[in-house]
Amino acid sequence: MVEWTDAERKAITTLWGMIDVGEIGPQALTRLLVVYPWTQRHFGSFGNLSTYAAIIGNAKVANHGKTVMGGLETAVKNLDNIKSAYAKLSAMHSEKLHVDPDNFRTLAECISVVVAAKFGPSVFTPGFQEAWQKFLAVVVSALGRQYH
Amino acid sequence: MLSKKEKKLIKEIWERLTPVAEDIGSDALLRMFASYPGTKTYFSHLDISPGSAHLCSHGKKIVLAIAEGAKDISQLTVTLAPLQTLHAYQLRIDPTNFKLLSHCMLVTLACYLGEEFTPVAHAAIDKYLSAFAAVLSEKYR
Repeated sequence: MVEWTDAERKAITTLWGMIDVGEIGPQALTRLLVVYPWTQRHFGSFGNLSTYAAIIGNAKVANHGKTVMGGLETAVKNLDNIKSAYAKLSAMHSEKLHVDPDNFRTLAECISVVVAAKFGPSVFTPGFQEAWQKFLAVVVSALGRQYH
Repeated sequence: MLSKKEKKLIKEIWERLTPVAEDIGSDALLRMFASYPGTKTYFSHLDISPGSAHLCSHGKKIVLAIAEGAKDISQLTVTLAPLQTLHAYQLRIDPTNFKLLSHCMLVTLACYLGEEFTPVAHAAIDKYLSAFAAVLSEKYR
């Protein structure tokens, strides 16, 4: 079971309260596709991803980014039960989507960078970053749990 | 693989950060120590509390080395030769830790540059820091 300190819970819920998934999500997914281009392999049906401009302007990328970021709501609402809360989603990513779980880690890093850029050092302090990254790591772990 | 454009962008960014090397470096280190406590084991001989003299001077050293390398990325192996020896034979920091510091460096840059830390800049700097880390660990074995 994951143990959260009060400070960590506060950091996570504070940050989540400030995050607009429609803004942060698309930015994070865009960063993933631009900084780690091999991740584009999972988005063959998204149309043109051949240039930076194409990715930035791609509506499917934006939409999907929002969906994925919104998926974190489940974790925020189930902080003490993240593993079971994501069981179905984990199975889906393994059996249906065939996503290498390493990609979850990479996307988590992109999310942190986008959040840092949005809120700056006075909000995204080293302490907040620790809590946020721990939170994302738990989600990442839960999503990889059902792979076999 | 870094394009000419990326090398130029990287050089410009690190040139801009050189005057605030201490702030950037100590911030990145603090973030690394907070998120990855195992990294603190390499600093048991120093005072790495926020604002400490050791933290500031060490952070400054690291950022200045990164900035120096950025001036001519094609010469990275030459520029880093003394640091390669230092890390391989004296410091012997496990190379996986370079990734952790690189990530925290990116977060620090994002915090301070905000919107300016575009996906293109992010990609270029991530690639540069990976190359830097790879060269740094070349003499390990």
